[in-house]
Order: sequence, then C-alpha cells, then structure tokens
Amino acid sequence: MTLQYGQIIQYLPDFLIGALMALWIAGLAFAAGLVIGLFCAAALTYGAWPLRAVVTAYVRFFTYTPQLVQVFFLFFALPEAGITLSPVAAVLIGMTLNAGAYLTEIERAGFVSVPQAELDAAETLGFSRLQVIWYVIAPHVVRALYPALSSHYIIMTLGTSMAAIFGVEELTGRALNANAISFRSVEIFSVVAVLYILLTIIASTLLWCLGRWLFRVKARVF
Amino acid sequence: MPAFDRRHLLGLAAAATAGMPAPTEARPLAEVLSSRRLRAGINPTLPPMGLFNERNQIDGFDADIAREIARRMNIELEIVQVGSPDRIPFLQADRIDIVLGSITRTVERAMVIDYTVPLHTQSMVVLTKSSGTAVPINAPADLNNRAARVVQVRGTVGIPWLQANAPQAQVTLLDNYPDCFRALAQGRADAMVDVAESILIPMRNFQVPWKILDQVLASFWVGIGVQKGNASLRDVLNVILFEMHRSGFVNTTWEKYFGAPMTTPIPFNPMF
Repeated sequence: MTLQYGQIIQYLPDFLIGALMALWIAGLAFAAGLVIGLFCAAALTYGAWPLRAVVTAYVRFFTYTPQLVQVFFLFFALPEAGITLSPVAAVLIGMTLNAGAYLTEIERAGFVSVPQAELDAAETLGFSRLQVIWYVIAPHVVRALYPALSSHYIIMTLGTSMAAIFGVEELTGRALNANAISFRSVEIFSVVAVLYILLTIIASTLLWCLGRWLFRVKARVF
Repeated sequence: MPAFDRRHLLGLAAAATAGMPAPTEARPLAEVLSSRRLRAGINPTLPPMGLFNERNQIDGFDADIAREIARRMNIELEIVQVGSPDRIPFLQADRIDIVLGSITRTVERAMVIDYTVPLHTQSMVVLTKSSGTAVPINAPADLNNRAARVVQVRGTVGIPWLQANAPQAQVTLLDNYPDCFRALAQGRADAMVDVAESILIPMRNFQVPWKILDQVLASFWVGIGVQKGNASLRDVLNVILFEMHRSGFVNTTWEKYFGAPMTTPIPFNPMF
C-alpha cells in the first residue's frame, strides 16, 4: 500500500492546537521550575543545614524517579487521599516539580561558578541577598548555563507527550486519537515528528528571546 | 545550544516525511503455507478477547480463534503480542499475517487494511455507577449535560456517538481500559460509552457499584485484519470463518469466555 497524506490533512488543524498546548505546558512548567530551582539552589548554597537537607531530599526524590511515575502518582494515587487533580493540573504540577529538581542541580552549578570578586563587589555596594541573586547571580547563571537550560527546556517540550496518558489533548494525544480512527500510522506519526521538530525550533527561539531580553545572553538558535 | 545549520534541519524534516521506509508487502497465501506458520497479532490487554493466562502466555477468545484457523489450514500458529497503537504498523511491516483484537469495521480503517467477514459483533452501551455520579444517569440522554463527566479510551466508537448525541458532556480521553475504570472508581468520571464486550470482564477488577444501561446504542462488526490487498489470504480466512460459524465453534468459544451468547447475533450468511 502507498502512503496517503491527503487522508490525514483533515487532522492538521487539530494537531496544531495540540502543538500549541505542548508549548505552553512546557513553557509554564519550565518557568515555574526555573524559579523553584533558583530558590533551591540558593538554599543549597547559602541555607542552614536543615533547609539544605529538605532541598536535597526533594531533588533526590524527583531526579531518582521517572517523571511518568510522578505524574501517575499525582493523577491516580492522590484521589485515594481525597485530592482529585484535573488532567492538566496533574501534568503541570508534576512537570514543574520535576523540572524544579533538575533545574536546582543545573542552577547550583551556576551559583558555584560565580566569581567571588563579583559577590564581594555586590556586598560593597550594599546589595541585599535578593538583589545579589537577581542582579549578580541570575544573569551569570543564565549566561553560563544557557546551553544546559535550553536543552532541558527542549527535553521538557518533547516530554509533554507523556501528558497524553493522563487525558491531556496535546500533540501526541491527538495523534493517537487520529491513529485509532484512521489507522494511518506512518502518515500521522511522520507529520507529528515534523511538528515536534518545529516545536523544538520555536521553543529554543522563545528561550533565546527570553535570555536576550532579560540577561543579554548572546547565543544562537541555529 | 550548539550552532547548527538550517540545511540539517530541512534534511531531517525531509527524511521524516519522504524517506519513511516503504511499507513491506504482505506474505500471500502461498508463502504463509510454505513457511507452515501463520503469524497472528493478538492484544493481550483486552480480556477476554486477549489476555495473559496463569502461565503468562497469551490466551483468550482471539487466541482460541487463531489456533482454530491455523489448525484448519494445517499449519502452526505463532502468536505475536501487539498493542492498540502498533497493531496496524505490525501488519504493514509484515511482522504479522493477521491481526485480531476487537478491530471494529469502519470506512476509514477499511481504506488501510482489508477485513475478513465478521468474526463477532459488539454492542455499544453506557457504563455508569448506581451511586456517586455528579448527575443521575438512567438513560443515554442523561449524558447530554454539562455536569456529566464521561471518560473514554482514545479512538473508541463511543467518542463519535458522544459528539453527535451528548455534545454537552465533558469528555476525557485516556489511554487504556484500566485507566478509565480507575477514573470511574475514583469519582473522576460518571460514565463511559463503549462496547459491552470490551468492558464486561475487566470492569470486575474494580470495586464499584457498576450499572450498565439496557439500551444498545449501536452494533458493530469485527473482522480479522489482513494487509491491504492480501486477497489470497483473506479469501481463505473468509471460508474458514464461515465454517467456524456454521460448526458453532465461534459461538461456543464466545460463551466459554462471556458466559452468554453475543448480544447482537451474527446472521448466517454463505454469501461474501
């Protein structure tokens, strides 16, 4: 049999909506994860030991278990305790907590790499701790860690395909629906693969703009 | 991010679309016979159609049917485990000769695979709970309510029915039957529209006051799938299925697994 792309054109608008959903789910979870990571990395670098222990336990737990299992727990185990999260909420919370743990590790590396001279200068100028983090450490972290953060964001964008299991109608979910109806697997999943490539480009462009506007990072997308 | 060339990207996109491996030709009847082996794709996550028995081997209604087909063809049966999303790629890549597993006959699918004459029927019903639903569901029409939460397995025949008959219902699509039953058990959903044959047995694993509404919303016909154009194999399967219906083998096997005859009987028809 031959491939009939004409038979699946009808699903394209639906797929594009799914691609946008993947983008915003990953974007939201990544942004929230960045903030969690920033605070946790600060806690690990400057915090007292009980705080460090709590943060370490959080990071270990979320980096040592698969994200799928974490979201599965949020979606299917929490209702047993009386907390019923909607599919999107479960996926967003799960991805945010997971991203927070990984980004803590990444951002901590950035904290450690800030030259002491810059910190001394900030202290001399009378910066508060928060000002030091925002004006001195954060730009340094983002600039030094741009490649690591960027690739984590892309991994997260692609990782949103996991959300299909929990009833979130993102790109993979919509592809599975179309596949079950039409049986045109090769046509559907090759189109979806191209859409994911486009998504990755859009995701890295967005991150590039963000880095450029907020911290004047000079990086290339292509 | 490493610098990388736009041309690589275009190449990648081109490879993903145009460069897909061409689907492999199916084995016609002569090849199946000379290899003395019929490869049947069976989905073991659809009890009782396909299931894992206590020795962890694939068994169930579909396995019994496939064994009988191979016996009548006087060749060996090789059962290949397939899942819902990959069963058709398995067929198109010529890893299996026939595919079973509640493959409802639809026009879209008939343009991709060839079906034999019907092996069995399916009857679509509403599954709900006798208590603990957001709105009382006593008739199919009760689902057409903004407060009614319906859960469905992706791509199942209940979804178009809901779109046409209960457009107001909130529908969540999940990946498989256990996830749907769990969502109903946990109070995340109130009802599910699906064929009785797919839900009757596995729903027993969940402690829920299940209620199935009496109305049969529609009947569907399930054939055995072969690769598009493999007429030499399909024609023989049609005759074998006719004989298996005539001898009562299909109905006996059905009752062995369901404890009752098919809800919608298959009319006896020698013309196909």
